[in-house]
Amino acid sequence: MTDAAHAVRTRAVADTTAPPENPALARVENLRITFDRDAGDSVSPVEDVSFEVRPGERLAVVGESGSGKSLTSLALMGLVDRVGGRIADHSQVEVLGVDMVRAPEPARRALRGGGIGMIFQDPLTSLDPVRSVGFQLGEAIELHRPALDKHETGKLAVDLLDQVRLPRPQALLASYPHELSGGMRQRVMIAIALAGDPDLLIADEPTTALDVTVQAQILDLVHDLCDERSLAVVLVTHDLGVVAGFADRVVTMYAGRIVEQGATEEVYAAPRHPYTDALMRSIPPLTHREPRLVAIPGSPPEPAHRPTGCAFHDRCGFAEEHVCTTERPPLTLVEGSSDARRVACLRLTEITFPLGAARATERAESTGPAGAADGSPLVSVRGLTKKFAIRSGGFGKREQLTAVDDVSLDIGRAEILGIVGESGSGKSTLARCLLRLIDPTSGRIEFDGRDLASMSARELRKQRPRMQMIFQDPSSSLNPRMTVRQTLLEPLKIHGRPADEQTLVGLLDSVKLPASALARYPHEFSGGQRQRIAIARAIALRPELLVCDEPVSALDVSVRSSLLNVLSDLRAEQGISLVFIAHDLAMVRFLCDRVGVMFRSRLVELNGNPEIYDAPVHPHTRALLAAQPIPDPDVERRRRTMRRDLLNEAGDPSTEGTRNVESA
Amino acid sequence: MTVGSLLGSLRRQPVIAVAAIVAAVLLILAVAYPLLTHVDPNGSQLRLRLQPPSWLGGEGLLGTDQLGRDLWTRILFGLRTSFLVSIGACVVGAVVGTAVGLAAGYFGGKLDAVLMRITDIQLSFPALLLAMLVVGLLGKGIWLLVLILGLSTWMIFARVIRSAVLQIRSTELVVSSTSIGATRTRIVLRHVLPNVLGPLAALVALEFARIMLAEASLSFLGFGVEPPGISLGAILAGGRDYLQSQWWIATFAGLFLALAVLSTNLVGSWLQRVVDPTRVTT
Repeated sequence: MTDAAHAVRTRAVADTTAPPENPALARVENLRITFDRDAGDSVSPVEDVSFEVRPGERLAVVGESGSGKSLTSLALMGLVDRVGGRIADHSQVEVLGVDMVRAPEPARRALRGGGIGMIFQDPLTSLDPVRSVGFQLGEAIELHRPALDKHETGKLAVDLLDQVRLPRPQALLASYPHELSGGMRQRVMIAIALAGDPDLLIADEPTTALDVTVQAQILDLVHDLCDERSLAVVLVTHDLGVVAGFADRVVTMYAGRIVEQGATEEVYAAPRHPYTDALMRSIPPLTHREPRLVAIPGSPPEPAHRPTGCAFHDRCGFAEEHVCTTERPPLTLVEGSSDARRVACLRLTEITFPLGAARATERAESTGPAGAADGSPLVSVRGLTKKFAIRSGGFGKREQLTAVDDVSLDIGRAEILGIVGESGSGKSTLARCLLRLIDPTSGRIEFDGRDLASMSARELRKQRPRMQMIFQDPSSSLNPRMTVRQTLLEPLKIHGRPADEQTLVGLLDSVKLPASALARYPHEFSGGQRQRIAIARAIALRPELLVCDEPVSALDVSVRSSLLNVLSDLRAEQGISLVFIAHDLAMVRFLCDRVGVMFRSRLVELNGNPEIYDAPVHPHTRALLAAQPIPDPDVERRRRTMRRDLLNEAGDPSTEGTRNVESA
Repeated sequence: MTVGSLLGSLRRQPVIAVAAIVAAVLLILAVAYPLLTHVDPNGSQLRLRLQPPSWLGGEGLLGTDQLGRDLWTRILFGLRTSFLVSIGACVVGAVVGTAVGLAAGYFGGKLDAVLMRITDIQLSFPALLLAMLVVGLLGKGIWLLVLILGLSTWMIFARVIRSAVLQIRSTELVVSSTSIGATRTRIVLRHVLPNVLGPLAALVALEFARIMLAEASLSFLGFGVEPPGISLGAILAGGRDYLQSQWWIATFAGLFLALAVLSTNLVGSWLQRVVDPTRVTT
């Protein structure tokens, strides 16, 4: 680093307290990223972000959609110009002594895959499908270790695969990405990232596409690699639970700015920014059942429509008129805290959060909502099996995939039944079979005493109003060419129900949407609002059963809890039975009276809400519970060792993702 | 999508704006021809044959052809034929193709296999050759031409619509509509069809221009519109022998044909981009 560069930096950020001799591995100062838009104006998704990464530390950058966290990580890699963005002149991004903004492209390129290793969300799209693992790993080694000969390259490749705990590394070199499971592919990506012997690893949502048990293993692996190789990691994520178990330090971003940063323990023990605090409290706990979740109103703003002043003021319970709405809060050092704890809140010194106290009292009161009513079950499923015919390779050779295997369960009236399981476990197929949206291969589905499985199409259509479904992705289940009014009217019209303005407004009100929403189109709403529209349509016919297939998984963390509250209210106010399909055990804990666990197409465990958490029986249930990230650094640290044994027992990485395929 | 925002989008794209003006002017010329000329397009005055345009000291706005007919009037009538045949053939092709594509894509299975093989078979025939064969067997006429050109284009609509339908089938829209009790007819007409209108519009734009050219080609070869009908292709064919000396005949006919094809194509592809409601309006 030159004196001139240093002088520029100190002038640019006078309030940065980091002493010049601090050997930061990477330093981001006053980062501002701007995009020009078609309309002629421009937006800045990242504004005034400064932080540093120290050697060997695990830093987490947390934020929701539109927070600018991924762009910030792109800036660290010097890739902002590749996505069409501009970095402002006063911004500095320096990694391992290289200026990632102004250095010539070859210098930046040498660092990528060399000094900086990178892992992305979806290993299937980041790996080349037509090249073997050995080729891709060899390529990475040759690029960054040109001194090695062929033999040494091969040895290093095997060694790297071994380091990421992949079994039989020699044999693995000849395999192709599609032959590997998601977790194994991500391990290969990590091995490639390690090929250049990096000092810094940038991981952008590396486990978001993976199942929780695999996620836990991958995160533990990266955690261990950090210690072994004294590697620094920047983990970009939306998941506060993941951060708690992983990071030493955390940077929380909201609407393009850092709102809070500090040591993970301190931030989690006592968040000082209203956003961080609300976010932490909105996550349902795994340890007990909350009667109601703390909900954050609204949804995170898009970069082009950020509020003035503090960007969080319109969702903040502490916001003060004429202060928070007009003045932009600077990121200021918190007095009396260690390690550069900073918070961007104008009312930092005035407000205190009763976090610890609130949790304790709620726990004492927590008895959970009333359980299921007595009497005959609404739905009674016996021996439900669904097989799909899949064609594989050769001529006429047919195979069958058993997606749901001999499942029997009851759903009580006004009961909320949770179904948890990993991807491919058959839970979504089960949901669709329950409503006979797809025809089961065998078994009975008795809905209020009548078998749906053997019903004619006409009969079935008459029963449809009584059972409804909500899907994971509201942007694909709602017709983009119909207004909200048309969307809500459709089910009513189909079944000849009266539909006046008051009914529609009432429906919107029960999902907490204003009447003004009626005239608008789905794309004008945020993801959480769209899901509310989908719920309003589903309850328009006053169903007795509502099946929700991962209804909040696609949504931002801060809008999830309010939707879970809406679902909870539906049961309490309208007596609707709910089937809640999810992979997040904490959400299920909050919402459900009973929980079923699906594993490899079978229902392996079904028990009441406290019981299944307090005394899980099946090894897979125990593995899921152990892998569930908990937003508490202390708990996570203690769990790490215990988890390792349990997950090794539950699933060898070489067999993960195995499906029930049998020849027919 | 309001008229105002359409105009705003045009203002930001001057090339498209010019194309839109050209297409509109050509369409007005084709529709409003009685106001623009009072001459009989087939009235030949051999005394005034092969006259250059009046601004070059000859006769008429764009001169006369080898039979002494007013070229400006004939081009107006030719444009009229071009638009008429293209619009008609597009309607025929889009209706048939969309129906086939919807059925094949939505219902799948055997129906899909049969419909797509028929499509493949017809696609493997050279369209112009087939058109010439049919004209040879059944005789000429503008409405027959509309039908033939329409049936030479439906396969492309069927294929594109089918793949668009398959894409919509893979979303949760169809399942969620089934779950509220919608019938299959309702799902196809109310949910699937409106969502394939985007690709349909794009294709109409492309095919419209292609059919315009195909009609001109057929007429040029003598298999299209026959006298007293007038086509830009036939005018071009007539002017071919006089390219060296009386350049204006083929030049102006060709120029108007090129302008019509280019401008409708540009406007069509632009429309397809802006009418999509899921696109965030800026």
